Amino acid sequence: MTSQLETRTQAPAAVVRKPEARRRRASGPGRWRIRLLQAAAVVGFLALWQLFSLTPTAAKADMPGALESIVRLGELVLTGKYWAALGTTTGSWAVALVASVIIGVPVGLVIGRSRRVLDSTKWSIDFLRTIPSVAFIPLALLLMGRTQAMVIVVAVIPAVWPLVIQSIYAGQQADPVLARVSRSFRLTVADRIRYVLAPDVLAFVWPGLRLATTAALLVTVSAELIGGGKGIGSEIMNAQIYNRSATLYAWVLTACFLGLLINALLGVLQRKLLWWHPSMRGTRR
Amino acid sequence: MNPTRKLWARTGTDLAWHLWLPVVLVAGSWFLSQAFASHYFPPLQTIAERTWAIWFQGGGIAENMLPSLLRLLVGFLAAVVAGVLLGTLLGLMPRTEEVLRPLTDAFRAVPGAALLPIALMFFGTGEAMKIVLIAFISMWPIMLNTIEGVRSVHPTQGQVMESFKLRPMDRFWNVYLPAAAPQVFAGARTALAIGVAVMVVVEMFGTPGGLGYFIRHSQENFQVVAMWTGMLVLGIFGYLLNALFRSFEKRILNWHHAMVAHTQGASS
Repeated sequence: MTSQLETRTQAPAAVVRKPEARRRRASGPGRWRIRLLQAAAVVGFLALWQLFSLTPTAAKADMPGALESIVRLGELVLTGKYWAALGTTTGSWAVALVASVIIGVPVGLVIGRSRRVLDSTKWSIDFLRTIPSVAFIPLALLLMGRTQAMVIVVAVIPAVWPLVIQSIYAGQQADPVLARVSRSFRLTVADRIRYVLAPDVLAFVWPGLRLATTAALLVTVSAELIGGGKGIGSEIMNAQIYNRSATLYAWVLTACFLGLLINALLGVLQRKLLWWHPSMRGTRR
Repeated sequence: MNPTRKLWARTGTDLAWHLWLPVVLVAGSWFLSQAFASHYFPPLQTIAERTWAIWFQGGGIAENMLPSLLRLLVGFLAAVVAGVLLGTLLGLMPRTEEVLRPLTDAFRAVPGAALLPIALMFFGTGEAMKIVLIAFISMWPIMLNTIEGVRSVHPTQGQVMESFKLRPMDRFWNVYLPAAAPQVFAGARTALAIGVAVMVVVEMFGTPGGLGYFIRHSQENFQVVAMWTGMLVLGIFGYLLNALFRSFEKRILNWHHAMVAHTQGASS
């Protein structure tokens, strides 16, 4: 059965679209040459930044050099405040993501299992998920003030939709033969979840999880930026208000590293959890 | 019953199944908000009336919605053009792309909002800052998907183009762009959602004019009803934009969907 929602991300195909799949795994010295060139590209970018910071345009915008920003970052890393802010942002993001999985996946599976339920909810879901989640920040601010809870609530909103939609596909595509086979083999409930349900659902939900991760991080930082609370976003805003541009750039770099780290983590998890999926074949070392 | 009437009956029940929940939700919140009205959750009726007064009679659409729409369109189109061009170039130069990947990965990984203060320092609070930020942040998904799409061109096609000595522009318009189109649209859909979010955030910080500005301004002045009308209008704005994009995508990608259906065994 093809999906009813016109919101399809093309379920497992989306797994193919991740960068790891196109990463050609050259071996031996070729790999090292690429690594070296990549490092050179990063250094080149930093050098360009440094040069650009010397121009009048950059001076007018109070832009610090790359060196200055990295040194400032080094100073910040040694303070407890840095890790507190980083921890707060990571914590808000993680709680929001886990909450979205707990809410989104069961709801999506239930909806996807039944044609009638899907028809009934389709228009409501289509409408609700197009509302930009940042629109809720002012309301959440009025209700909850400048708190971490506010940030988490606002971050759940955009993260839950991709999970719901991918889980709907998972529910729709559930193979009845698998269920019958597991019944004939008298699998226990635990085994059925572990060996039948989990792999099937995981392959579908994964692309949704990747989207949810990015969305949750974007909105977490936005909410902190607009609504205060404590975290990377508010540190960035403070640095801007007090005109400490090196600190500002150091925090932006931190946000960038956090994003990279989360992406890398997802990549590793994907190889560990989905190695059996056809789209992952040939990508392992 | 003749077949036409049967068909009508089926569409009728289909429509009923689609409609009942939205109707119940709207009616439910209408009466519940009436019964349990509070300062922060005003009755839906009040919101509807004020929406009419502020946005339609009071010229809110011209004052706050059109500027939002315009800057989103300009920023988004810039993102599409830049993303497709850069993506095609990098897609055709796999070596360069691999060398630059740490940088593209880093730019994609930055939560866009973190760049807002930098944009404020360079461009101030005006229109330039808003458009640049929308374009810059929503460009990345389009670019990455274009790279994938260009790569999906079969090597044989490349050899054919080589032997016919097609000019680069012809290759781009006739082979690479159509081949990448499904991926480009998938990226652009994500980019549009990101673009709307960024639009709201930059408007909350920028100069007056725009949906985000209106909502934020109402909240700061504790005009709760006005804030709700802004959220309602923004919701409809987002929905219509998405619907418009989808119908556009459907028209452009008609050939692609037909092809997929064909290879999956549908008879035409």
